[in-house]
Amino acid sequence: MSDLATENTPVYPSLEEFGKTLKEIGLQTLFQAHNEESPSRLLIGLGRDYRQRDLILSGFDQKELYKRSDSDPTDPVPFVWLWAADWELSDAQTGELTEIVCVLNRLLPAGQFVISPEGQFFYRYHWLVNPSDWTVLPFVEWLDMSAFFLQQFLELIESVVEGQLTGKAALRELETKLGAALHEA
Amino acid sequence: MSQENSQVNLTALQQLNSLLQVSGYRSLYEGRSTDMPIEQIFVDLADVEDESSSLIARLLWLEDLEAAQMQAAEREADPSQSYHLEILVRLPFEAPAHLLPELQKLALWLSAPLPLGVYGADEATGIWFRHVLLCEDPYEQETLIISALELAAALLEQQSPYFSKVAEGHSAREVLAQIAQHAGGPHV
Repeated sequence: MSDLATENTPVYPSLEEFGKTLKEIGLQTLFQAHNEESPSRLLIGLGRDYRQRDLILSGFDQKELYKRSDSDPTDPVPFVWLWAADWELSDAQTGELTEIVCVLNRLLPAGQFVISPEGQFFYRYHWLVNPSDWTVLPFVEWLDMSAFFLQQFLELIESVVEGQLTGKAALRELETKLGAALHEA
Repeated sequence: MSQENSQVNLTALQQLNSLLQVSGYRSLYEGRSTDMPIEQIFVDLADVEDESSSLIARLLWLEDLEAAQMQAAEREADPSQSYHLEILVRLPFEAPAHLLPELQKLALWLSAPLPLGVYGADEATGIWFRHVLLCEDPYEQETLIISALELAAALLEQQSPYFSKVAEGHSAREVLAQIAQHAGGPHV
């Protein structure tokens, strides 16, 4: 149980408090308070991708993001975590990627790739937290997994985006990769 | 995995199933068998007063699934420090192969603004909604899981009919435009 959640007062951690907890256990984090243009966000460094670009995850408080009421008892989803690609997809590129993205989203243990109608490409997870009994351990394990998945699959996805592979060819490569991973496990 | 509570001899999913039924859900627990070495719950998310409709969510631990796959391959699964509960809902629509590209596009576009989970489509499962909950302890998560099911049920009740519009011949982009027109906004 985190120190931030007291025994008698179950509360969700704030994004800033959560960032401090992650920093205490050695993660690279940066909290950015909201301003007129953007909501508060917590940045978490996940290392580098296959092209040595920084992999940075942004965490948002959903109540702030969607301007929800704090008193809504049915909302157990305090945080949404996003990695956003620095490129956008045309409808034709989206069409090439949809099958492989659906396959990945059916397989990944937690976290999914999402494409917006405007062509933005995200890796995303909605982390549900029990306010009376939350810990960072599952989240830290999820961060490790996410860094691994982004490192593993981003190259394949960008090969399709850049036209080096068709969606079908990428899917065949993914199946080969998954088969080999199961064989080596 | 240590999902059995030795004091009461109930697994976490058995406890959850009891609570779901007490809470008014129609649910069914299936224990491990030689044919299916995983435990799972099937729960109907449709309005309990409407007996003519059903929207079945399947709940299982991904660690069970991984262990079963590794067992079939005669290998050992890596130990995990947390548990992953998969909530998978198959939507009651056909997903014929010739419509899959548009259904997949609509699934991903509708997923973008969701506050939980993601939609997808494939030939084997059809159209689906999926979310995986992370838990350090598989017990005492009932409130969280039921909250997630309530949220999923509300989303699916509102959005699942959109997929039938693709079967009626509309493109994913046209379906989004219809939703935006209905909502009076730029898109969902």
